Amino acid sequence: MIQVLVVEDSRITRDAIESQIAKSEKYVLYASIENAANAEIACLRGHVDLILMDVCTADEESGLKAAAKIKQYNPKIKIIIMTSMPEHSFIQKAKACGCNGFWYKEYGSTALMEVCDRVMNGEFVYPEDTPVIRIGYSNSTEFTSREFDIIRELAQGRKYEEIAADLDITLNTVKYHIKNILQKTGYQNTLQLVAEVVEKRLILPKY
Amino acid sequence: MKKNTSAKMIKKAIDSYPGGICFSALDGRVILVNEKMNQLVLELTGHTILNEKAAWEELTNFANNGKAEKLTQSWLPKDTNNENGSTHQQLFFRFSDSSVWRFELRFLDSNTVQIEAAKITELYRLSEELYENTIRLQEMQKRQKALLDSIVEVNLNKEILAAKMHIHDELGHCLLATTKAITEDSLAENAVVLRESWSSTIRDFSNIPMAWTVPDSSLQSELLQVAELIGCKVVFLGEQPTQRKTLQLLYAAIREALTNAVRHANATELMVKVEQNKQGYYIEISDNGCVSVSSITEGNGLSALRQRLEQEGASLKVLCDNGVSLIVNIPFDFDEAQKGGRT
Repeated sequence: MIQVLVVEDSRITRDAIESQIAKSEKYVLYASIENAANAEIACLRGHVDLILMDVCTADEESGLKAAAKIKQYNPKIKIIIMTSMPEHSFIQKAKACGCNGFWYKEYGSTALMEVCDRVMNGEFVYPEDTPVIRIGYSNSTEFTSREFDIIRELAQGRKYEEIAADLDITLNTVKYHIKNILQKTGYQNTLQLVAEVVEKRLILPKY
Repeated sequence: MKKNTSAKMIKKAIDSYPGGICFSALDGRVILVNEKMNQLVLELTGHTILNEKAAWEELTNFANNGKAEKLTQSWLPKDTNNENGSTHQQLFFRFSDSSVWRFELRFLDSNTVQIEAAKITELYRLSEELYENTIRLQEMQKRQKALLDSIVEVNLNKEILAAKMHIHDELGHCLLATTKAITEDSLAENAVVLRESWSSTIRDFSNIPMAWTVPDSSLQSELLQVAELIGCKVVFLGEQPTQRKTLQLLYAAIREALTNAVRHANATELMVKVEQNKQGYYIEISDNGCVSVSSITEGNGLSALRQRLEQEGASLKVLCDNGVSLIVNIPFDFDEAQKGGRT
């Protein structure tokens, strides 16, 4: 039997996942917790085969950061990242941590247990793209990677000069990107942009 | 003759200056004043400039007279080079034609004083606009911060709402299927399927009230449960802090110690001693692991913990005396100390 650790802070979602595991003949629940920071400890004795890891967990602990730590010491443990956030960088971060799968709770068309089966068969299962979110007049897919970097910096309250230093670009380049972003979205200023982007959960700087 | 012509030319020149200008001696005797200045001062005080010192005093104590009003808003466009208020003063007035004028008094040298009046209507409008925009942006920034702080909670509520909608759908399907089975007289045939559907829906339904509240004690209890799951008991000596932020730091340290104790020393018990002194909490975390070391190299985990603690004003010391112990000092939070929250 495949031992599963569930890391999920929403009780309803956790119960739904536990119920699916209980119905399965291949999987058995090892533990179910709500704080990602405790996941590494749960894996210490090597009893866990698969982790279903939420990104935003209790006490603002990041499932992605926990996954990176677990993979460092236990590369054989399979990890599937689960989220309902359309945050565009989560997929990239999950791949960078070496996670084996990624599942959108609200947007995906694939069932979670199907993703689990494929991951346990050695596949890397990732959605093709993040969900498309409307930001002003523009779709989230219309932003370039650099524009996302700039929006992320803005969402963290950085000044233009700080953004330039962080991203190792000139102040004029920062202004150029911001002008383009505002033109695309139709917003008058960056605060309107950031408020919308954060509200629609396209950028979550803490995770 | 030449001299007289020159004086007239000077007067004519300053009269053609679009702003107001007045030069006087230190005692206020007017040396030279142009028509515009006299016209502006006349409108404000009811007379032209007779003595510069007296006129400035009148302007300083000006009470609105229906023809003009004195502007005192803090955001008015000030001269940023003015660091010495005693030698460089400014007053602002709006006249009945809506024009805004800035009067500026300067000590040119040890004998001469200058008052200059400049029309700054456009600058005033822009400053007003800038001020309003700044206030609006500050409000937006506050909203944005609140949004960032609550985004996880908002999302959790969205997830709960989505789950509720799902249960609502399931309930609807169950009702429809049961009604159909009764109508078509096929209740017996579909009994098993219907029973399963109803059981599943009722189970989900009964979970909703529990989903609204994540117990606040989760911070402690979950870690202790996970520790027991891997066969390591966490034993506390002394009273734990009550403030959530302090607890978060304490539990971050316990997590790191627990991970290292089990991973490197196969420990089965972790002792957490919590004491209080005048400055804050003194915490010592040790284990019963089987490894004896005289020194350790800090890995990513300990370094990250040290960084997190130091960012919050706490400190971390690693003691290597047979086993490895972590010594954590967490100062009392200022707000908490004010409330007398030390327990």
